[in-house]
Amino acid sequence: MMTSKTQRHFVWGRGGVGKSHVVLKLAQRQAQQGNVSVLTLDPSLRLLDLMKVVPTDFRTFEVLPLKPEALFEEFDRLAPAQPHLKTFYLQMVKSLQQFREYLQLIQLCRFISSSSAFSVIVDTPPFQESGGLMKSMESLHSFFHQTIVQWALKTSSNPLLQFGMKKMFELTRLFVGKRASQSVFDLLTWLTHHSESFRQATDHLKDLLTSDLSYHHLIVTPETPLDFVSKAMTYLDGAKHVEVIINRSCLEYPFPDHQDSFSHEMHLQIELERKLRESISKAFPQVKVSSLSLQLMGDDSVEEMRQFLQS
Amino acid sequence: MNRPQLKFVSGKGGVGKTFFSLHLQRQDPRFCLAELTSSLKSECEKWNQPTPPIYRFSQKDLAEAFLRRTLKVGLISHWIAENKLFQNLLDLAPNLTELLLLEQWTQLSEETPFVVDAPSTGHFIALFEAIHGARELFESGSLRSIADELHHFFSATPEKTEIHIVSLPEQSSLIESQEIEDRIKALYPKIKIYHVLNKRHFAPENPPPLKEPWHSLAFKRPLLEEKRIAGRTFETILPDGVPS
Repeated sequence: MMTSKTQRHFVWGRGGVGKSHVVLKLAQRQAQQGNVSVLTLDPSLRLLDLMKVVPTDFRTFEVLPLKPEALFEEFDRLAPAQPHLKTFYLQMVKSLQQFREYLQLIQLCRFISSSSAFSVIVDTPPFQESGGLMKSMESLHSFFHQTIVQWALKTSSNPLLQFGMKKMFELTRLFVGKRASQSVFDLLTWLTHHSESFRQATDHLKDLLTSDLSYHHLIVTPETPLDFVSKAMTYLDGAKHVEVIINRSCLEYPFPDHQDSFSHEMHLQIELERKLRESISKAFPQVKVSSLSLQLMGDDSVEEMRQFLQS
Repeated sequence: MNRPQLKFVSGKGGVGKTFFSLHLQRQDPRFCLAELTSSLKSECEKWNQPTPPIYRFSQKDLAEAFLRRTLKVGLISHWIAENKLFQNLLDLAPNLTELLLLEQWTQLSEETPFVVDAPSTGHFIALFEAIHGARELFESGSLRSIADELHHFFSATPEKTEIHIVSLPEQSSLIESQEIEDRIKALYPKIKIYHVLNKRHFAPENPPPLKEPWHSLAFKRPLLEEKRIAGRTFETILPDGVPS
């Protein structure tokens, strides 16, 4: 179990719902109570761009991108790897999105468990990809608990298993050739030197989502289908604090009755939001629903960001 | 000259990739649809459209087919593919999935033309970068052969493939679209790329007197969008709220 008392806030949402803006707003609010670190898992690093327009007097928190390259350096200091491994590792990090995700998750766990901040806010990738993230969490967990790494550890003392491992890696040659399968094997062997810290990190994964200190903020807009909310809720099964935030909410602004296509569309929009609200509270009565009022976001300017953060 | 037989639809998350995939398929019904997640069917239902044939491949099926080809023994391949340990290995060998998906789509497209409702920016670029990654990492073996075949398909017969990048008239979406174009161009400069602008807003013609924020939404938003898209070219522009 993690001993850190740091609050963890996860911000989830589909692309284009205003996730990055909400992350900043949340960070700025939390920063009134203590130190805040914002970690971004979003490969587009949109948050770092947006940070440039946050007025200086609002920059009361730090934003850190999780870079898997750094993890290698950190482990390398503890148990130096052969130079060819670093090349292989960096190539994998560069070309394999999912490998990056795994490493980022490990970094995330390590960061949170050693953090002394009041709160850590995690900016997740857009939700479709986050589905993959959840899957990665499970895969990573079972990987370090049941499979190869465990096998590799056991094989060091058991000659039969050692033989089995060797055969398995001979099989991988068929797929990736001799040199690469040797590199894969070397990399895994090197990783086993760190298996304890990997295992600790993956142990924390489930805890990370469901602990009493973990808060989930699911960002939607009036157009978001209920389907999406339901899917997200299954991913967040077991989480103690889940909040749905309806961004660009328009219920507080009455729209005049008029016969033209614009009015028709805006009425439709209002109706959609009302329905979404109703169905969320019906399907998930335990979930808190809040909203952020509709604001026209235009030019990503400092002034606009100030208005948003103050609202 | 070959006709295009494989059309990928990508863009930032939430821009309407699935919607536009259906739009493309309807323009040329010879095309079938392929997807990674099951979003096409519900999109058809949303617009009350009949569902065209949709192909979806699971990672496990692809892996089993691949094993069968490499090992040439069906029973063993099946046993290995069912094996939990192997499934874990597959999860940790990500460009395997990417290569196998691309291979499946390109091969099928030789028989039936395909529109692929592809993943968004990062994962889409990863599909193509997996080819290069595999060619750099593996000097031989069956994965290397697949990567070589794919590389040949996209570089020697680029006219068979089209990439349609969907954008919203929003800053972050436009930036990501540009990133997709740049990264794909760097890998396969001859593949034709088309840009689609979805959910473009136009000032209403006959609205009632409006208070804020509605007034801004009606009149300021179209102007802001115009400013943002200035200097960019779109082959297709779709207005907001109207199914085509």
